[in-house]
Amino acid sequence: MSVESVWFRRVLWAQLGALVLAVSWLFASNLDTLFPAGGPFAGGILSRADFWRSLNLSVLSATATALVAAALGIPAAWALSRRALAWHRGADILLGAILALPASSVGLALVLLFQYGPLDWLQAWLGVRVIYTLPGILVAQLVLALALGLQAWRAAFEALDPRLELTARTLGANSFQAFWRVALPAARPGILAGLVLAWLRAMAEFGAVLLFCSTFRELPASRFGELARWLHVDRADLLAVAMWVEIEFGRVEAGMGMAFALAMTCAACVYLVRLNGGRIRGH
Amino acid sequence: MVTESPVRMEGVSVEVGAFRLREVSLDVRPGEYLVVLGPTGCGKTVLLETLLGLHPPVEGRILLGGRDAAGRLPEERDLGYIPQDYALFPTMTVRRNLAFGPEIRGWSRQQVCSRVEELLELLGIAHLAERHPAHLSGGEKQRVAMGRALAVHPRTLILDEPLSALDSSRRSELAGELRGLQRRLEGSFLHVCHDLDEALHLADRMAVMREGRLVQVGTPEEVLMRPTDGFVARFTGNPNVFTIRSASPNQVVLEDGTVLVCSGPSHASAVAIRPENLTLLASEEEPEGASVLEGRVKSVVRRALALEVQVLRSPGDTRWTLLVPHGRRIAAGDRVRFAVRPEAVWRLAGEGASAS
Amino acid sequence: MRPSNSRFTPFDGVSSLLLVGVAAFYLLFLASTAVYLGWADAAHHLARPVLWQRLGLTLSTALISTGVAMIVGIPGGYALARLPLPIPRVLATVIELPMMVPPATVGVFLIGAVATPPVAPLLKIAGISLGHSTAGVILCQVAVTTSFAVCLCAAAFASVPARVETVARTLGATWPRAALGVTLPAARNALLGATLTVFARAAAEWEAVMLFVGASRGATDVLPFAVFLDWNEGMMGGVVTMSLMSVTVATLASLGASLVRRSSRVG
Repeated sequence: MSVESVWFRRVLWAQLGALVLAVSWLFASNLDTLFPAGGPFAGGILSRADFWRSLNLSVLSATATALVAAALGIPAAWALSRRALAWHRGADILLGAILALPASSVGLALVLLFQYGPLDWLQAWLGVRVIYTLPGILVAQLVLALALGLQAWRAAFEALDPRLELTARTLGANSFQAFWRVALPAARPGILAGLVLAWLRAMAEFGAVLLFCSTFRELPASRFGELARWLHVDRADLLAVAMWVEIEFGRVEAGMGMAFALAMTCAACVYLVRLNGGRIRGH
Repeated sequence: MVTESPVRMEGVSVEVGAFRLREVSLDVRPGEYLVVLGPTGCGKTVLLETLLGLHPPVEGRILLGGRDAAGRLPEERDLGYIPQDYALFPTMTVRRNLAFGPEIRGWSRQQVCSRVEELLELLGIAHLAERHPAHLSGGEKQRVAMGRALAVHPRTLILDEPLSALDSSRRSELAGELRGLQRRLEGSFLHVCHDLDEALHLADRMAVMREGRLVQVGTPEEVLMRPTDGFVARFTGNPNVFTIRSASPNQVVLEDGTVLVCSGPSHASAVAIRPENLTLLASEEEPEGASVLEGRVKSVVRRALALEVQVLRSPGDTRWTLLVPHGRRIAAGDRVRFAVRPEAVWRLAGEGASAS
Repeated sequence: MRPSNSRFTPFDGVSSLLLVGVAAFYLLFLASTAVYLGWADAAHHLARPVLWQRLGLTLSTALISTGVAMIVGIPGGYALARLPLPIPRVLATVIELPMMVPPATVGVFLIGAVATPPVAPLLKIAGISLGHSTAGVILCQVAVTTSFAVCLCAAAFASVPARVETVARTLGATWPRAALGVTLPAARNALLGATLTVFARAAAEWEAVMLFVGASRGATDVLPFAVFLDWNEGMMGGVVTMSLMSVTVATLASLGASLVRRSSRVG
C-alpha cells in the first residue's frame, strides 16, 4: 500500500474521530450546568410535577402520533408502492418539499387551514375545535411524522421481491391477505424503522406546535378533560416547549435538564433501533 | 369423456412495455411436460405472467380447464407457480410456507397438517421443516417451492426457469427429480427456459419461442430433426443451415453451387443438416448414394462428447460443422472429405441461412 | 412486476383512499400559504425592504452554513461509507444524534458549549461575539445540519460500489486518487442533491436560533424566525408573506434535490 493511501486512511479516521468528539463535546460541555453550585440538580426539575407532566405529554403524544401515522401511512405506502412511476416521483417531490419546510411555516399553514380553510368547515361540521387544544399537538406532530414515515414505509415495500406477492396470490390469497400475511412480515425491519423515525420526528416537533397550539401551562384546569388529567398531561406543555420557557425566563439549569432529558430519550431510541440491527438513514 | 386441456392459449397477443406476445397458440395436454424454449428477452416471462392473469390479452383468449379465463384474477386461476428465484416467504419456516395455500383456502387444521406431512415426505424435505428459507440451499429451495405450489392440487404447474439459479452440477440431478415428480403426480407442467439441454431432458413436447411468437411446437425429436426454419435449427444446436438456389424433387443446389442428393418438396428455401449426420471420410472412400464434399478445416474445438470441426468450402467460404469422435487426428488447415447422406438433408420452408 | 389488477377488496379501497387523501392533504397544505395570502396585502408587504433583508439574511447564512456542513460532510461521509471496520453502535448513535433531537435542544446545548473552554477563549481571541449576532445564527445552522450532511454524503458515496475504486487501484491509482478521481465524480449527482437538501434544512432552521441567539432585528431574524416573532406580536399580514417566501425557498431547494437525484438513478 502506498504512503499516500496509508495517510489517507489515517486522515479519514481522524475525521470521524473529530466528528464524534465534537458532537460528544456539544453535549458533554453542558453537564456542569446540571450541577450548579449551591443549587439543586438540574434546577430541581426532577421534583417538579410539571416537568413530569411535560415528559409524559411528549412521550404519549409522540407515541399516539406514531401510531396514527402508522395506521394511515402503512396502507397508503402500500398503495403507493403498487402504483405507476409517476406516482412515485410525485411522492418523492411532495414529501421532500413538506419535510424541508420550516416549522413555523408548518404551524402557520395549519392555522390557515384550520381557521380559514376547508378544515374550518370540517371542524364546524364535527363540532370540534383543534387549534389551541391538546389534540392540536397531535395534528401538528402528525404532519411531519407521517411524511417521514411514508418515505420509510414506501422504501420498505419497494425493496420486497415482487414475486412474493404474486406467488401468494397464485396460492389463493387475495390482495389483502397477500399484504397482511406476506408483504408486511417480510418488510418488518423497514416498517419498524419507519415507525421509530416517525416517533422521533414527533418528539422533535416544537415550532409548529408553538404556533398552532401555543402554550398550555397558563390555562385553567377546567379546560382539560378527565382523560388528560388521568394521563397527567393537563396544563402541561411539550417538554421542548417547557424547555424554551425555562430558558426564556433565565432558568438555565432547569432548561438544560429538560434538554438532557429530551436528548437522552432520543439517543436511547436510536441506540435501541441499532441494537435490533436497523439503521436510521436520512432525515 | 373428453379430457380438457388444463391450459390452452388461442391466438393470444399482449403488449407489456417493450415485450409482446404475438398470436400465441399453445395447448398443454393433460399429464404432459411442455417446455417453452427461447432466448432471453423473447417474451417467455410475459407468456407466464399473462397465463397467471397479470396482463389481459388484447387479442385471443385463454382457456383454463375448458373455461375462458378472462377477468379471472391470479388467485382464482388454480395455477401453481414456481418463480425464478423461488420467492419463498422469508419470515416463515418451510412448514408454514407449505401450509400457506391450504390455510388461505380455509382447510381444517387436520387437513392442513396432513397435507404438509405428505408434501414433506414426497419431496424428501422432512428434515428441513422448521428451517427458514435463508438457511436453505438452491436445490432445497426448489423443492420447498414445488411443495408449496403443489399443496393445493393445482391443475397445472408453471415453472419459470427453475434450474437457472443452480450450478450446473446440480442441474442435471434436479432436472431428473422434476421429471420424476411430474410422472408420479401425472400432472401437467409448463416449464420455461433458455437452455436447450434442459429442454431436451425434460420435455414431452417443446415450443420454440422467438420475439413473442411460437415458431414451432412439437416433440423434441420433431424440433431437432425437422425444424420449421433456420432459427429453430440454429437454436437447437444445428448451425448447418444453407439457402438453396434451386430445388427439384431429387436434389437441391445450394447458393454456392453445391449439389446435394436428397428428396423433398420443391418449394423449400433452405436446408438444415445436423452435424452428427455428416461423416468424415478417409481419402479414398466413396459411399453409395451420398453426396461427397470437400473442404479445408478452419478450427477444431474439443467438446465434452466429440470434436467440433468447422470446415470451409469454396466458393464463398461456406462453413460446415461436423462432429468427429475424440481421437481422430485432425487439425486446422487439413483438407478433408465428408459425406452427406440424402436422409440427413432436411428442407426448410422458412427463413434461410442469412443472419437474423 | 406488481400485480396491478385487483378485485376491489375493501382493503384496496381503503388504502387507495388513504393514499389519495394523504396526497390531497399535503398538496393543500403546501399550497395553503399561497392560497390564503391576501394578494393586495402581500403586495404592500413585499414593498417593505425589511422582508427582503430577511430573505437575504436567510439565504446568505444558509449558504455559508451549507458550505461548512458539506466541507465536513463530504470527507466525513466518505469515511463512514468506505472505512472497512464497522463503526461501533455507540459511535454511530452519537454521530446521528444532532439530527434526531429537537433542534431547539441543540440550541440549548450550544449555550454551554460556547461558554466553556476551549471554545470560549478562542472566541474571545477572535473577537467574535455570538449572542444576538449573525455569526451565532450560522453556528446554529451548522450545528443542526452537519450530522445531516455527513449521513447524506455517506449514503451518496455508498451508492457508488466500492468495486469501482478497487479497480482503479489495481490500475495503479493510490487510494486518495481513486477516491477523488473516480468515486467523487460518480457520486456527483447524489452529492449535489445532498447539498440542496442541506441548504433547505439550513434555511429552515430557527428553533435553535431562538434558543441560543435570541432575537435581534437585522442580525438574527432569518425568515422562519421572523415568522414566529411577528406572529407572536400579532402581525398576520406580513407573517403569511414571509412564510410564503420560506415555503418557496424550501420547495425550490427540495425540488432541485429530487430532480438531481433522479437524474443519477440507474435504470
